[in-house]
Amino acid sequence: MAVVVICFSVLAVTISLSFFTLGYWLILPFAGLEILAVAAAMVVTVRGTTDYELITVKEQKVTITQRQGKRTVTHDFQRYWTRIRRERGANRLHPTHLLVGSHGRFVAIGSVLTEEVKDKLAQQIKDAIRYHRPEVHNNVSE
Amino acid sequence: MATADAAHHDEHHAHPTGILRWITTTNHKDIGTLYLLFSLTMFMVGGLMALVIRAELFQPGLQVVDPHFFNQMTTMHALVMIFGAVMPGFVGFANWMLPMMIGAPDMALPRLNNWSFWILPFAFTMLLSSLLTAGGGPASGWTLYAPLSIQGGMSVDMTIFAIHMMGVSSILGAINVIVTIFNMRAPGMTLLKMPLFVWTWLITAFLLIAVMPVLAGVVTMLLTDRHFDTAFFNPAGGGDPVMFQHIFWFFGHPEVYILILPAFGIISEIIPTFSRKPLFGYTTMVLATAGIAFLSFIVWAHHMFTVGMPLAGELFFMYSTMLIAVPTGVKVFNWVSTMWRGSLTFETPMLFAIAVVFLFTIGGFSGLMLAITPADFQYHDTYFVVAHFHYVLFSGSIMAMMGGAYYWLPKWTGHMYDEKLGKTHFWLNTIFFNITFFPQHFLGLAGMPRRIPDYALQFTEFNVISSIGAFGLGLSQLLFVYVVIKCVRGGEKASDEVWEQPRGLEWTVPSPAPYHTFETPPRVA
Repeated sequence: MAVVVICFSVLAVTISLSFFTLGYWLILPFAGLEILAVAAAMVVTVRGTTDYELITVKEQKVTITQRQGKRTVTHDFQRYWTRIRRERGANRLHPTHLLVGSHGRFVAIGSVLTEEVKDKLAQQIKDAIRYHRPEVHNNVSE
Repeated sequence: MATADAAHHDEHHAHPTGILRWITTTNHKDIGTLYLLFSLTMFMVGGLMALVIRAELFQPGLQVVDPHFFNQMTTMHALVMIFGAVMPGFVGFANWMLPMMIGAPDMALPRLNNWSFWILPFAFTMLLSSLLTAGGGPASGWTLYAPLSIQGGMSVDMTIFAIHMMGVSSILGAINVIVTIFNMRAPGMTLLKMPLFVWTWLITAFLLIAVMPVLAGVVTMLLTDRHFDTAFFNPAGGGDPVMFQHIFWFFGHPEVYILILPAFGIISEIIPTFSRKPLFGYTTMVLATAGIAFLSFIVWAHHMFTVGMPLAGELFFMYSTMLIAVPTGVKVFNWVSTMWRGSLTFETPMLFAIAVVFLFTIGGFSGLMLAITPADFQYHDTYFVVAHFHYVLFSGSIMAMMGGAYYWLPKWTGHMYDEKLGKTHFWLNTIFFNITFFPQHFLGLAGMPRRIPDYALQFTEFNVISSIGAFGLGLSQLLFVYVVIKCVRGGEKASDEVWEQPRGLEWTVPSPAPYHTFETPPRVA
């Protein structure tokens, strides 16, 4: 991406400097502003492309790994006790939160997903947890 | 081990209804619709101005408007059509189609996308309301040549401010297109697998970014000449008005390609579908587009051969301009070769695409004539130039957009448009277009200057024909609006593919395309 921004910058600066040397300097500030805007847009977008949330369901454990920018956070929960919750969000942009956790410790996931996709994801996680859950011995005689 | 990967998406899932939906929307389809509706509205406004011009030119003498208002109409018609109809129209297509074509859930910067659009209505309110100021609107032509524009009234300042706003909108849109294409393509969608419409838009966005500061700079220097006692272009203070023309056309010529390259992309999507063949020479199409973009930076002075420049300069700009015929010829050859021995059918989008290839080529040839410096001394500032650029811009850009609208309307609305009415619109539009603009070649060759409200009697017949054609052309667009409205409101249900085995990811989603598409990225083989 840096190559793209550099290409833009070289092109815009070459053009505006050419006019600058002829005395028509007012093109240069606009080119500068534009280069800043292109670079900012690239940085914002490239940063976002490496963000992810990974939910791993193992025999005994559910692990949620969240990466945002350069920061990676991992949360482990006991699989048997892991619960999925929906809570009301703070505003219309985030009508609900999807929470995963156990023993009073919950983590919000999928905050950028649509409500429908959150529903699907919640169901997927429930299924993944339930599918491997060992049968509990029923010691109550009927 | 089971994993669920919550892919990231932009925060645009809240879906307000009513007017707020359209004001606050960050959804690429909503914003695409807004751009297209805005473009259609401006097309009608600019068209009405054209009809004022043609009504005045119906007969020699002054009948309908005074010469000053006539000049305002020629200026505003161009500004509205270029910045209000064609550019936003293509951005509308980009918004609707780019994410779906590359398998992205939305544009990379959705909020920026919203701002890019909502700047436009304010910019055009400012531009159009300049007609109401004392002394009327800008009357120096869309090129705003100094020193004439330095002498204009307040309307010139309003126009400059409006141009700045349009420029900001265009730059933000271009940035969004570039970051979307570079960062949000579906896995497997390499650059050389991108649909040609995406390629042409990527190159157009590069052009926009390169030349918009030049436009912003030149109009700002015009403003400072007007109000802050600078003398960039004012000869009274030692400025150079010819330099205004050089700087303006350094922006203006790439702008011409900004207005046509996405049109090339649209017809490169349509022709293979209705030929039932892949596009012939995909890679050469990409290279030709890039070649045209490069050449657009070194041909600007062909707009000003008669202004005066060294012989070497005239030769350079003549040859470099003629060189553009090579990549353009490659494109035309590839479109024709795609159709060659194809299983052709002639639905409305295909009719428009074929007409674009044919009529744009006529515009290209008249462009070649204008490129010949000694000949240009004869043609310059005549109706031949008016005929040339309308063959390029109307039958190139606008008719490509109409073809594109018919092509993707079923995907956008979920309904098939009325094919019979669509074809009727095509024939009325194309016949009246030629009636309007073909005689203008003869008028120009006979010496009728452009931008005049009155003319010598010898030009009467061709002007009468041209004006009749213009009114027919204007009325035929009402049919287009009717077909679009009818299609939006109902009609035969469109299938997901719509056409027979079309290529591209956009045809893999249901019709109408759901509000959110490709939230899980597709894999491209």
